[in-house]
Amino acid sequence: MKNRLTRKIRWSLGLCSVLIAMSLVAASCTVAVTSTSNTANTNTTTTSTLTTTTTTPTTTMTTTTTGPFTTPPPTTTTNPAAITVLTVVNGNTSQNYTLAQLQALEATDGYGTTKSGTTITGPNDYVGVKFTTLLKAAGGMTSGEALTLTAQNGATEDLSYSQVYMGTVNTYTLTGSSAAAGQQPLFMLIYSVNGNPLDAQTGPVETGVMTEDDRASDASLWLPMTTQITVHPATRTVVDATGAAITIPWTVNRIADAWHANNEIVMLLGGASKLVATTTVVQGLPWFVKLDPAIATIPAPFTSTAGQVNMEMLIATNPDVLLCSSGSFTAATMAQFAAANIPVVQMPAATFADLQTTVNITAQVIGPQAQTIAANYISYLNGNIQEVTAVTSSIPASQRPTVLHTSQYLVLSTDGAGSLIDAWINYAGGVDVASATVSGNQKAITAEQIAAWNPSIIIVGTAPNQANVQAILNDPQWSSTAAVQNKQVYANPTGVYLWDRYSAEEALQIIWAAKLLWPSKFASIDIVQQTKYFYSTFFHYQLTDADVAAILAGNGPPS
Amino acid sequence: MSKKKIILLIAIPLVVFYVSLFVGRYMIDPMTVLRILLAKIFPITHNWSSTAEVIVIQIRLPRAILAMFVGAGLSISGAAYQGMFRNPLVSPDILGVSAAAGFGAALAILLSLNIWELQLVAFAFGVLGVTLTYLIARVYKSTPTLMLVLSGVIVAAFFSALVSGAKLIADPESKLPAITYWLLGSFNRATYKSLYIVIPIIVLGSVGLMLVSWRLNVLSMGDDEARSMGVKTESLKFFIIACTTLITASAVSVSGIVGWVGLVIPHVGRMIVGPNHRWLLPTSMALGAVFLLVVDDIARTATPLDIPIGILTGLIGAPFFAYLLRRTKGGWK
Repeated sequence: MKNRLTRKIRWSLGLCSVLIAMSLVAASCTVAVTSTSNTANTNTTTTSTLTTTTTTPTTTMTTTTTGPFTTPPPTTTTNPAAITVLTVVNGNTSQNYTLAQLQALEATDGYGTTKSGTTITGPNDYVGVKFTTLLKAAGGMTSGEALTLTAQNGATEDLSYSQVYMGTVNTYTLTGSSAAAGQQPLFMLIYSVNGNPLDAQTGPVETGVMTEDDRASDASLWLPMTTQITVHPATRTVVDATGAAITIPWTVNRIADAWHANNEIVMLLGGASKLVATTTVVQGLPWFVKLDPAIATIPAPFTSTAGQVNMEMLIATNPDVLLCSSGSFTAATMAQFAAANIPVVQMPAATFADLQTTVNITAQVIGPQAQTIAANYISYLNGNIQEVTAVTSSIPASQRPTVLHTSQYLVLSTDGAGSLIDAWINYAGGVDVASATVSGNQKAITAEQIAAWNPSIIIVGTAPNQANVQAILNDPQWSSTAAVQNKQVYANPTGVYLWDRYSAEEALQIIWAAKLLWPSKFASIDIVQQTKYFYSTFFHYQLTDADVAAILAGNGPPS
Repeated sequence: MSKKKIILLIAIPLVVFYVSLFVGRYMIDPMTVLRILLAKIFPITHNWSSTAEVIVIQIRLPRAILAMFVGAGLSISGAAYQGMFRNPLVSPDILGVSAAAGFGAALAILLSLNIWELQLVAFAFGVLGVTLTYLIARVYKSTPTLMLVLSGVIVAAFFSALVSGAKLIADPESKLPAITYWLLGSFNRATYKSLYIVIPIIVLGSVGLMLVSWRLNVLSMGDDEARSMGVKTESLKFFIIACTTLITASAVSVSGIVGWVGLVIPHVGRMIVGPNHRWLLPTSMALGAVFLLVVDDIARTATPLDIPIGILTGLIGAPFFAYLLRRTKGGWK
């Protein structure tokens, strides 16, 4: 007896060691990803300050090539003195300067040295006009205001009051180590270097920081080809789902997003490059990573556990704003965010109206260009809803197919009344079998209840969708349902995010479901074309036919 | 033990089992249920819907059978351990089997394995967990009770930490609810396929424990006493741990972690038949089977939702245990 038992245990040990080895490999992969994400973040940080961002509503873009009095277009060789090289905007007033006009202002001579990584450039001898002089001429600037600089190539830079007036910037020795400056660093609009005019890559005018000849400043503070300086309030407010007016920086460059699905909405609104902190869940979404590989490398202070945050990791990303779904965090955690000066914008999640609100709030946070995209998206979403409901609203309840949406096979669960899933089933002309008895999202139900509901169509919404569909078709417990008997069990598409809940791709889900439930009434809808259109319009990504097939089947990108 | 008690202990589980097949959210009249069952043995004309047949044969029947075997298995394991450890607070997962099996299941969910593979992995990890406990506790060719208990705590803590880690990285829309739900225990996924594996293992383990029930009586007097009476305590302990682990790991692998049953039911058994393991073990099995079956009937019929069984056993088991403690004034026969 003992021998047999020992053998049995040995056999189990053998199997277990294989499983442990598997789990160890999985664990080491996680570690590898985490460690790269830290180093890569530094790169993201540097680039994000230089990426194309929106300008203020008061902006009137003026560049060296398109000035107000440039007909026919002049060149620097024909009439250099007449070209506006800089515009200073303050509220409703704006002032244009030609190079000659700038040179007529009080000139300052100073040394400037840049540090980019470990590369030190300079010192060089620069001549230009102090920012404070330019601002004084434009009506001045208060401590509640900030500057946005715009360059000819679209690059922007944000400067605070204290940076301009008190010189609160990092300075370094010429070997690259941090060291305080003896004299206050000075922001200056440069028009001459070492006695020569600036070249075409940096001028005609450039923003730079003057320091002593043995001190260097960060190269990211320098903005070549500066064309405009805009004075605006340092902050603005966004009203979030709680009704509170949340104060956020005027220009939001660094977004932390704790809400998995909202990361996709940020991407939709063109703000993916602004994401500096995300969730581990988003980093595990194959299509998200395919479209935006950078997402996998930024820190993820949020996990699948709702309300949990690695506060130090989050603070280290220095976010301008934190986005989350309403009530994600406890009062204690919210107090920690407040103490860390991280404004938190909460957004609603429950209905299609909430989806629109969320898109709008997110767009307001990101900036004016995002608001244009948001308007386009919402009209596309509503267009799809109207197109579908115009046909389905007249279908009487008795003729509607009964639909069970289950989010996984392992745990029998469904979404009932009040859920987004219930809403799109209704739009698409079906009846959610669960809505009469179950309300809310992802409620565990019994196999007997499913048999009693006897749905005529089953939609399975969680990876591995296809495997789950097969499992349901082969499971004797599901065998009595009309859906299984007629082979009407379908995998829900999964793209950048799940199509069936919370995501921007709900717009596609509606038409996909309508076509699934009523193929004859929606013969004109080409879901493949619509998916390609949506991805190219909103994600600027051209899907291949194989890509679309994978998305519609709920699979990851084809390898 | 009187004949009356023996008859009751056999009759009550059968009656409760039979009644359970008539209980459910889907209304099927008792005669139809009876006809559906009999049609499996006798040729009877089918005049019922396929839905009714699936519900009775594919859903209620395997679920009721599984609940009974898991209840019986956990209870006999608890009774055996309480005797072996000479401690009334011991439950079948004292050596870490549930925590380890729980991690196995969580891992399987993370890796998107199917239900069949999940049960295999959970079972393997359950056995692995207890093996680790046993190896840690083994000093100088013996396994002192204190060492076993402490090792069990260590292993359970280790695997619980791994489960928390798994929950941390699981997808919140799909995998996290699956892990959470599994850890709370449910018979929702009872199928014949799982029964074919679980029942033989539970039966084998239980028969093994019954065979050594009189030696368990001796062991419950203490290691030294048992040795002086000629019992090879080490091999006996190993044998009991092996049987119990097989039973518990297989039970946990199909139903998730069902708490309290293995702790409370042996006490009820002791109140009815006394501490003699020869009678206590089968009595605990019968009581455990009935208890878990009734609780599962509530779990699947009380609401349209499937209430995790661990919640109900805790809700019912904890107050009941408090009542027993008050009644016995902390003393233990």
